Amino acid sequence: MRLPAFDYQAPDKLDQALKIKGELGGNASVLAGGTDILVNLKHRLFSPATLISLKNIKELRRIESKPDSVVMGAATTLAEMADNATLNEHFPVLIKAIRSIGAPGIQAFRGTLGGNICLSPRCLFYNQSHFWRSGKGSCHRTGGKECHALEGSESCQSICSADTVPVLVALSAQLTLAGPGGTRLMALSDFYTGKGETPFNILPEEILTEVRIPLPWAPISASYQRLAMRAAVDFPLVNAAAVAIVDKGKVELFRLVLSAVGPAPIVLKEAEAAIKGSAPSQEMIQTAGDAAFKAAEGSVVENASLSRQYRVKMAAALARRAVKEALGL
Amino acid sequence: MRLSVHERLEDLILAEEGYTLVGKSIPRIDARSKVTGEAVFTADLELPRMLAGKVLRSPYPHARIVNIDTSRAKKLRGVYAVVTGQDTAGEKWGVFRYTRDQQLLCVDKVRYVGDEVAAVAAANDDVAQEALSLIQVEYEELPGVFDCWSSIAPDAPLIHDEFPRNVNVEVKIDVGDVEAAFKKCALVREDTFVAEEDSYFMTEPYAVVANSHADGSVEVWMPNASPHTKAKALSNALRIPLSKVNVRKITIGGAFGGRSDVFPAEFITCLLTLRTGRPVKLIYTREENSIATRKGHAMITTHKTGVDNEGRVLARDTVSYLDGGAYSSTGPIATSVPFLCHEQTYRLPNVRFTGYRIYTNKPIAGMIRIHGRSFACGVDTQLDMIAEELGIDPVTIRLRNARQPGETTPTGSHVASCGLTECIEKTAKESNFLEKFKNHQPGRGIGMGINSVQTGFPLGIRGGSQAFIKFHEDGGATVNSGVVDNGQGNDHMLVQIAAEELGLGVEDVRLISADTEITATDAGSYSMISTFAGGNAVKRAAEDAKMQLFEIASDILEADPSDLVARDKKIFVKGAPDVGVSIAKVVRKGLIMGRPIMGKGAFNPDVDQRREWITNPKGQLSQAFSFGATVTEVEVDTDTGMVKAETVTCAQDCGFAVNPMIVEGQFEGGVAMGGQGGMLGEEHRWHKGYCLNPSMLEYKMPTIADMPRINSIIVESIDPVGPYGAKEAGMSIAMSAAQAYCCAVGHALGIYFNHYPLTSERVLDAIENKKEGIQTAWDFPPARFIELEKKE
Amino acid sequence: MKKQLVNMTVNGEEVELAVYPNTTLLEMLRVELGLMGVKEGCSEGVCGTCTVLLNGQPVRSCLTLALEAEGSEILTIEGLTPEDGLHPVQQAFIDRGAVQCGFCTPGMILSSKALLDRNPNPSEDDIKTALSGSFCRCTGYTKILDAVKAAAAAHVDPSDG
Repeated sequence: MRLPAFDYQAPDKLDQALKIKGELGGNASVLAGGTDILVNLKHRLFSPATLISLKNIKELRRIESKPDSVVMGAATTLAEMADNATLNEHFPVLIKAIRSIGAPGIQAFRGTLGGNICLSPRCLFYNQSHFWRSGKGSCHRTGGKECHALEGSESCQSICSADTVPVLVALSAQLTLAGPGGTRLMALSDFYTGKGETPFNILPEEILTEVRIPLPWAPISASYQRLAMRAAVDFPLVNAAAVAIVDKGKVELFRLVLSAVGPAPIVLKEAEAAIKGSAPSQEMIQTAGDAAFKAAEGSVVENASLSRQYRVKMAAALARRAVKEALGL
Repeated sequence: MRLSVHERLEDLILAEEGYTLVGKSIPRIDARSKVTGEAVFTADLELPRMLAGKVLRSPYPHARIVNIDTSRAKKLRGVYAVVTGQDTAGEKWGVFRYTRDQQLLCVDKVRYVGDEVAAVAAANDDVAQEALSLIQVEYEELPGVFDCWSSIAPDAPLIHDEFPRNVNVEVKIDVGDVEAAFKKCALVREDTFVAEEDSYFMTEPYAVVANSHADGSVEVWMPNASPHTKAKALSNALRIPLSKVNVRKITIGGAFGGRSDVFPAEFITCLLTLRTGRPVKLIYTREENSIATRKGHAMITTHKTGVDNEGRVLARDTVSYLDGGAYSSTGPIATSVPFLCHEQTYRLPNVRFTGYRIYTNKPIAGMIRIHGRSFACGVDTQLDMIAEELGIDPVTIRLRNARQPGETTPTGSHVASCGLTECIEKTAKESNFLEKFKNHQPGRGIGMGINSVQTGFPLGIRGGSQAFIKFHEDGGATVNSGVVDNGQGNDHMLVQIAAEELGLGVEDVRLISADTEITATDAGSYSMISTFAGGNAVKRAAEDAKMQLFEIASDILEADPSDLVARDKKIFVKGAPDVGVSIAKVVRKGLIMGRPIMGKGAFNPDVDQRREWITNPKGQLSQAFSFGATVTEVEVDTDTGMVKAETVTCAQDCGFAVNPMIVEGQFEGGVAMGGQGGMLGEEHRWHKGYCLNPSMLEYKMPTIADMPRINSIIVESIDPVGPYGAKEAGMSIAMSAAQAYCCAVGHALGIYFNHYPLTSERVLDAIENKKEGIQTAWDFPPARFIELEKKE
Repeated sequence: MKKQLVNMTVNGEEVELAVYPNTTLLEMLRVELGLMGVKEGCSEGVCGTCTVLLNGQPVRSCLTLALEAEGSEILTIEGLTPEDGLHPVQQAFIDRGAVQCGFCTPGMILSSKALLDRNPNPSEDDIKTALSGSFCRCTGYTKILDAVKAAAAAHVDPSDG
């Protein structure tokens, strides 16, 4: 399969990249690793006039340990993260999520953190060739007004399929978005709009430059759960992450995030509130499962390898497992 | 521990004084070119002035073609030819005279998403792609049918006007008196089994290169399972004499049944090279490989089975519906083979089979390595149900019904060699089956499947194989054979056999094969016949050459030719290897004497050529049959329905293992494709005729990290006719692995599964809705006899 | 769209080529340099047949722009083969029957080589993880696993313990 024509620029400095992005806006796409965008270009899902490669911008490829946080450049490769001592020390749960992405040949060199966060949401009716889609007509995502996966849907229901996202949201990660006018910080949980056609809260002139994970104030215990049909090269059917700080027999911090159930990760706030402040107990497993089931029921549609019904049940099962592992139950 | 039991019959070794090469795990002759990247596959071919070909396909599952306007595409710079159905006179292809239903380029109607509508040859891929976008096709969409039940409904739209109720093929077999036998049975049960489509996903996507020449000939390179069959079809369709259609040898990246048929692609590529006078290369995308070559059949099978109180099957009445997709393809064969494998495996004194292949507006279904999942898995699942009801274990009930050597199948094939009982006993013993079956741990299961496949079908003039051997002055030889290698190691098999017979090393034997201009007719590799027929032909050619060598050597050695032996590149009198003469010297002497060594050999299997798939399904089908048993052990996660296969133990009676390492490779590949992938995750999913998972990402074939440990056991029944006793390797493992996985998951959960593959979703659904008693997990409407109006 | 210059080392040889930006590394290696051992099995980064080593790491050349490989060292199966004989992984694949149709073989061998360079004594799980991005439809992977183990065993100096 051939790529469409595009111009290519590989600036050395972030400023230059921002300048180009500022001028071209939506006509330019950022090329980090390319494992996602190049497939989508081959399928003619979109056709930017220019690709701005981040490969020469050293400041975007770094892992920096700060007193209160770890900061990673958006173009840091997944393999670099997985091999990083600081991340392994503080966030083994993140390493687990990274190791589950694609296969080693995807994690090395090509796959990047920013790319995973900005992974184009997936749908069996969208991630198809131009030929395939030509018979079905356009959908919300390709300029139409229909959803082939869910008849009558007002917006696109594509799936946030990134493995790092539920973990990073559970770790309260923040993003830095840089634009011509300066930078802004955003909680990762606010980055996802919940609409597949415009999945990210980012302006056409902006570039995702940094991801910051705050260092927890006490040792955390965490869990990452994913379900896929094979051991590698498979996006999650559902995934979930839980992060907890249990101090003196009490859950002092608790985060539970469900993902791959719709265009945005879902923070299960009710379950978090129900669990936080108490001593870990078996009932919490069920509480989490019920909350996940409810959330997934309102979110999952029939657009992945297995059915909606199954994925909803699995959302509950994975949430239960995540809580069980994170709370040591 | 990985165990490889390779037992040889001691007395055979004595009788043959031991083989020097066959029976040994010699590395493949083609491996070196493959590990260095030197092996040339079709897409790797580069010819001067070559153009890029591309096909415009129907984006609709069922539509009338109102108009095709190619004028804009033709005007595009860099476009050299644009062809449509108007350029083909509506030429139709079909495997049989009575199944010619596929226009090589659609003229009036498209019948599936992917049907070929037009094609271009252009300077490069980008121009070709742009040209396709400039072809304007006006369609009138028609209602489509996408599964067997809706397709046979009386008011369903007809896909081909001349086939009422969309029934493409009807196979009827009735042996004994089924109804009378049911009345004598201690137990009769009827269950229905459903399987979705599986597919090949060979790593090499389909590709064709064609080149036309001034003498009116065309050369064609493409992955194929029978060059001579492809040439014949192209000769017919292009109206070029067969001798001028030269299908060339090329490295082939896997077939698994998916390269057997003739596709419009090769016809189109030939048409484009003939139009332009330039070579044309057409490379399929992965999606095209999935939807526009072939895939497996979805299938619904209802088995009604009656047994005596010891579990012996007295009668079986089976009705199958096969979802054939838009065209016939190998329909009559595909409809019959699931039953035929079954009648070879199990004794069936009274049996009736009614198979319907039904048209739908989906891609075309063809033969596949695990042919008829619902049939085979249904048989073994139902046998396990009967066994439970009668209080018999799965091993015993299989042994009681297993085919024995010397018997005749219901449709009349004599089974000369059969090691099925040994396969069952060895896999059961090696896996400690009975203990694990009886001491059942929750969530863990063990299951057994058994199966049998053919070595060839009655194929008339193209059913046999011929070989020639010439010698070089240095004593080396070149074998010439029509056998094609799809990756399984046929090339090596031929060389190892020739080297054995001629007393040469495999490095001394060169091979020219699978080229229709240079090599003689061969049946092709799609009916598991290559070793049996092609191997025998080469063996005979080598024996012929050897006799010629011996006659010349007998003068030199002053000995009787019948006392001579060829070994280590020498010819010597038996028992006196030190006073031999080199083969090189004998060859040279032959040249001087005007008696150059020219070996020739042929083999035609002794099958009943009157046998026909539909009109006369009786008589000797194949001269030999292979048999296999597989045991799988699994663990099921009852929260998610995910199945983890831990150990697989498989045994096959391949007759004789010409090369045990290659045979094991076939077993292991069979387990991966038939069992691990085929039974746990591989299926095509659909939305109104659109394949939702044509990609390797969404079609869940297993990775290395998914695979269980595999123990391979080679069983050798030494067939009286196969070369050294060899039959077929691997396919009966692929099939029995599917059955074993299915039965193992069932055993783990105490559930009898009847919808395949067993994705985690289906497994969980069955767990959550578990039924009481001995019943299948789901109730499906049974496949029944279809009343058809007589065709005029 | 204009051609741009790209420089890299391919199989030990420095190359400078003018390529269109939309040329993948796969296309550059096959079409411009004739390195047909790099296979295109899916074009979507799934099958792993297009795997080459970039600075020693296995990457999918179908999802790598040629321009993105600027300044890097590329090794394809053609470059792995020494002038005399074969690389131990190649030899092990032959000896252990790990080669059937051969279409996945170059990618498998390069991924195995990268693993053994990094980890000369890998566990079975290490091998499975390293090769999990390469699909083989013929072998069931058993003999591929055997071959990598054998190559590792041949590699490991017994004095290392």
